[in-house]
Amino acid sequence: MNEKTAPGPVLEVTNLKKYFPVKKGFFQRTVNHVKAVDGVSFYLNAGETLGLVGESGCGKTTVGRCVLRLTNPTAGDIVFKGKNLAHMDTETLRQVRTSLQIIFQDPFSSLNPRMNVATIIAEPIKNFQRLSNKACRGKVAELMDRVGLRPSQMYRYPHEFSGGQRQRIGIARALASNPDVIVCDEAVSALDVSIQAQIVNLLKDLQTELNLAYLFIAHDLSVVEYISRRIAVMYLGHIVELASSRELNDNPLHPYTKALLSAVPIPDPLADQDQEIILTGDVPSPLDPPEGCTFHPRCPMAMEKCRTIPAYHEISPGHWVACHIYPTS
Amino acid sequence: MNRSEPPLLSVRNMITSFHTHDGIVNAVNGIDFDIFPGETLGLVGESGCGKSVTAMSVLRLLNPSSATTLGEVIFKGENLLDMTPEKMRLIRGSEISMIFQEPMTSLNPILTVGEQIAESLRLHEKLDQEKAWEKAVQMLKLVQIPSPEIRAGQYPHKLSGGMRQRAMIAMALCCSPCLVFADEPTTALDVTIQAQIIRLLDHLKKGSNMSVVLITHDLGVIARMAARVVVMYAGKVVEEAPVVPLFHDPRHPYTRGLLNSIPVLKNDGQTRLTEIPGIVPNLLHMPEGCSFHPRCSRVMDICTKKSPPMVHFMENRRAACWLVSDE
Ligand SMILES: Nc1ncnc2c1ncn2[C@@H]1O[C@H](COP(=O)(O)OP(=O)(O)O)[C@@H](O)[C@H]1O
Ligand SMILES: Nc1ncnc2c1ncn2[C@@H]1O[C@H](COP(=O)(O)OP(=O)(O)O)[C@@H](O)[C@H]1O
Ligand code: SF4
Ligand code: SF4
Ligand SMILES: [Mg+2]
Ligand SMILES: [Mg+2]
Repeated sequence: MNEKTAPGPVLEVTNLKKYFPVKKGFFQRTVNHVKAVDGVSFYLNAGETLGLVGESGCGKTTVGRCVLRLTNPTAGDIVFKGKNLAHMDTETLRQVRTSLQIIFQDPFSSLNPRMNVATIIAEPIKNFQRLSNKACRGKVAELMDRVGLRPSQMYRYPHEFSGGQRQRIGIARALASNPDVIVCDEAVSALDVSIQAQIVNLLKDLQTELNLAYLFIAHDLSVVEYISRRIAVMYLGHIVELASSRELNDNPLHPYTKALLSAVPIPDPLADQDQEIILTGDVPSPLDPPEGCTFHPRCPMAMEKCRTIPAYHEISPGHWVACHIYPTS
Repeated sequence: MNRSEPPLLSVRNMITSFHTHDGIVNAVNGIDFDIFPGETLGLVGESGCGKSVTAMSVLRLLNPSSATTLGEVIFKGENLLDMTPEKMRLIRGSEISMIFQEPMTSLNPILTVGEQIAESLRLHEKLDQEKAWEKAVQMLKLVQIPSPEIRAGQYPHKLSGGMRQRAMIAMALCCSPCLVFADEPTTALDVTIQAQIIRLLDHLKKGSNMSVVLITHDLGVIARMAARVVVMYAGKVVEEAPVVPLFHDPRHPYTRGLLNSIPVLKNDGQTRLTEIPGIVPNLLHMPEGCSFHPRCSRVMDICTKKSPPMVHFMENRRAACWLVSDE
């Protein structure tokens, strides 16, 4: 068995924290912290997709950026294939990072408009392998073909492509360095359903073929449920529930998960809409999160106990939740 | 909806063309539809198919130096397209209004939320300063903004996304219009906030005879809100039906394709999504015949040569496809 297909997590994140300092005044003194990610733990198996959902601002992107060490975590461990990225020197990190890639929501803003497609896709290869120009072109053509782009369009610029095609360019670039893990940060969120289906199918095919692991970040639950084996639900910097896709859909436990699921409009006019749980208010500021369970001001089930922090624990095999309704036994 | 009454607004053979560097493009290419009093009409299709341009054309919000709109838009017996700009300005905001996807682009950043609503009330309802402000606060309360007296005095950037969309809705509805175009009103919002806004629109519509044209690419939102649906592709109407038959018995291959590509909850994780191959055609290089033919799984010889006519069937349905007959 080669390294890539070995069982066990390819990535394990433990108690990850990222606090952004809030500075004020002439001396830019730190007056407070945005606790964007506040103690998040999960693992990702080789060839598996873990979905990460939650309302905007809950810390999904920050988790993704920490995993790639695009930003330095405040605390916690990020163990990738047995090595802790959180405590890695920059040189070793540079080498390891080729195995971790990211695809963004807006391929337009993430692609350099002045670079042609060949240069964009080849950039990670050039950085990590010394290839002749010809070999490089060959590799680019191969990658373009793999993601459903015509290699003859190699010398065109990003603006000449549609949204879905630009997302394919982003995927080809991510694949260039043979990664084990790809963070897909809202990668299909801006696309029409028809095009979204094309990209989701492509990602699934590539996963099977290359044994890729995805951390699939999105705010659209139906897409996430579709592509993920397991799903983590985030609220204000914490994972509040984590379970298999099936289990989360059939048996959601956390009141926030229930509200999120019920808020997704069902594409069937005959569907029963009475199940809808309408949350009041907006997500509170992570600058000044509520005491205890951070969801309590919006929670329809809140009780006295909720002024204290609920423990995040495994309630049945593989099903984790942080809510006082489900006490630790 | 009351279909025994005549339509509130009738669009007939409307064509909107833009003069671009590369030539003239017809973003809306001969469309017809009616809106009846009190109904919610859904307008769907992939991005770029002409939904926003349709709304902007009806409201005459496009810049006349780059866009031309032909055809008829009959509203209360008059053709809006022939109206003087002054008269049109009076109709906009009072009788017909619009809610946009991104409130920040349509709310004025240098006026407080209350001032903007009050200004519209002074212009259209001829209210004095004090009365207008009072009504503005009332409107903010109606759209369920907490502490409306305080919020009225704040600038748009001080509000959260969901709150701004509520303020935008308050502004669109302050003069009790009979017709509102809502262009992707919830697309930029989180699902939980979207659910709040949908519920709010439902609530505001109830008891009023206001008609809403709901423009969105989200078929879930359409299923939840619309009574009748018009599907657009490449600047044309390809299918129209009441919402239940549209979802349960779609006839046009494009409508079917859209419905099939929605990921469903409760899947086994193994099945592939059904995609519509290819992309929306470039308006400068429209395919011959049926404009959907390069992406259609049922394409036949005739489709590549002749554009299919609109076929009306079952009383209130229509579709433009060679496979559809009037049975
Ligand atoms: N560079 C930064 N500086 C300060 N605050 C930040 C920074 N990046 C993100 N944040 C804050 O951290 C929180 C989480 O942001 P993010 O991870 O982008 O959430 P999501 O991706 O779930 O929408 C938000 O409150 C955001 O404003
Ligand atoms: N000002 C403009 N100049 C030229 N083309 C335009 C302009 N506005 C829109 N278009 C084109 O018209 C078509 C329809 O656009 P739009 O109505 O915005 O689509 P939708 O709202 O369905 O996504 C698109 O191809 C778009 O590029
Ligand atoms: S701990 Fe309390 S407030 Fe938090 S989700 Fe559970 S019931 Fe609601
Ligand atoms: S007319 Fe032909 S190409 Fe067009 S939708 Fe019908 S079957 Fe498909
Ligand atoms: Mg994000
Ligand atoms: Mg639009």
